[in-house]
Amino acid sequence: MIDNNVKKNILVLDDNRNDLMLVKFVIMRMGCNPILIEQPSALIENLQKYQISLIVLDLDMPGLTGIDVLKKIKKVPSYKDIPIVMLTGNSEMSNVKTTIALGAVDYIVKPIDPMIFEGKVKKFLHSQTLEQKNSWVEYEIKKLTDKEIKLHLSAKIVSIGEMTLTIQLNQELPAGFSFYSDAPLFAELEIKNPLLKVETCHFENESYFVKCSMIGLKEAELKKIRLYSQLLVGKEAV
Amino acid sequence: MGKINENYSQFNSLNLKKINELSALGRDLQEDVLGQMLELHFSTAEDMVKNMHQFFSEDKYDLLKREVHKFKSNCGNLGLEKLFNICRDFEKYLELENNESCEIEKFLSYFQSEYELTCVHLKEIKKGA
Repeated sequence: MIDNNVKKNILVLDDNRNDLMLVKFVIMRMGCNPILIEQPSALIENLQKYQISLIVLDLDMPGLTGIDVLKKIKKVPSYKDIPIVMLTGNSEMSNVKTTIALGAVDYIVKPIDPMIFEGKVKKFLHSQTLEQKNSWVEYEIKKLTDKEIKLHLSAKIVSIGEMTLTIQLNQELPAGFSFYSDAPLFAELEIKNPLLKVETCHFENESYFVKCSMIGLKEAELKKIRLYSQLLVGKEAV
Repeated sequence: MGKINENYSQFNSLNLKKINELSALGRDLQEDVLGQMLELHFSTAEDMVKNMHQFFSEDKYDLLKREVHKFKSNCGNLGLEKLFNICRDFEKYLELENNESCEIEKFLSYFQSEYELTCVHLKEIKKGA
């Protein structure tokens, strides 16, 4: 099952009802929501109506072929990043390669094997989730590097581990919040403003204890932190 | 592939592994997946077969190829191994520029007899499901 509270929508465009029915059941077993269409003309309407996580597109359709549809989707900025997996029955390998060159992420050969279908689709849904998480972090970084927000916090580093550090301060920070630290002790170690991301925050003895993960540190920097971990404890930070 | 492969006996009419996969899918979903797939097949196959004969008689080979292609896919989903292979070769033959009507007729005849046999098999399965 896909680990997500909200069911992901998978859109399938295939002119063959039999294939659509089989795919519908496989998608349902994955815990996702199948959106099934037989005509390319219904595509845009469904893309507008639903938040689509992945598109499965039949390559061998009469009229507007899978290649034509793929090209059209890739031209629309709001839809071009949706992963597209091609379904192919007897297409020439050159056609399949064309779809990959045009931006399809993979292809599945008919007759549809439920296990192969599930495996491939899950792989792209999973990588999409990771990309979403990464883009969130990038957004936070951008927000701070653009100097949209500058926090002035007085905090104390109370412990430092391999990849995390805990700071004590007088205000709460939300989990997931990320920020650059300009604590003097990092300067002392010649580590330039490391990015910290809040993992947990708990209140104790009139202070907030915030555990942060340190993101993007190089091995040499981590080594320095490990060496100086004892020295760092108790110094002023952030 | 230019001519009909007369040795389709190497293939089984019905691949039970595929039928079992559909049953397993149904158990996981608590739905009659196999029953619904068979129902859809029975409700569409007859018309598709009629179309094939009609398109052949009207020399509409492109439409015939399209119908064979669709039918092939349905056969694959239901594990109709022999019929799938006949359709695959038939479709490839129809892609040739210099195809001959007598050869197409031969393909249709192979197709028809195997289709009728699979209907018997699938109806048995539907009864037992």
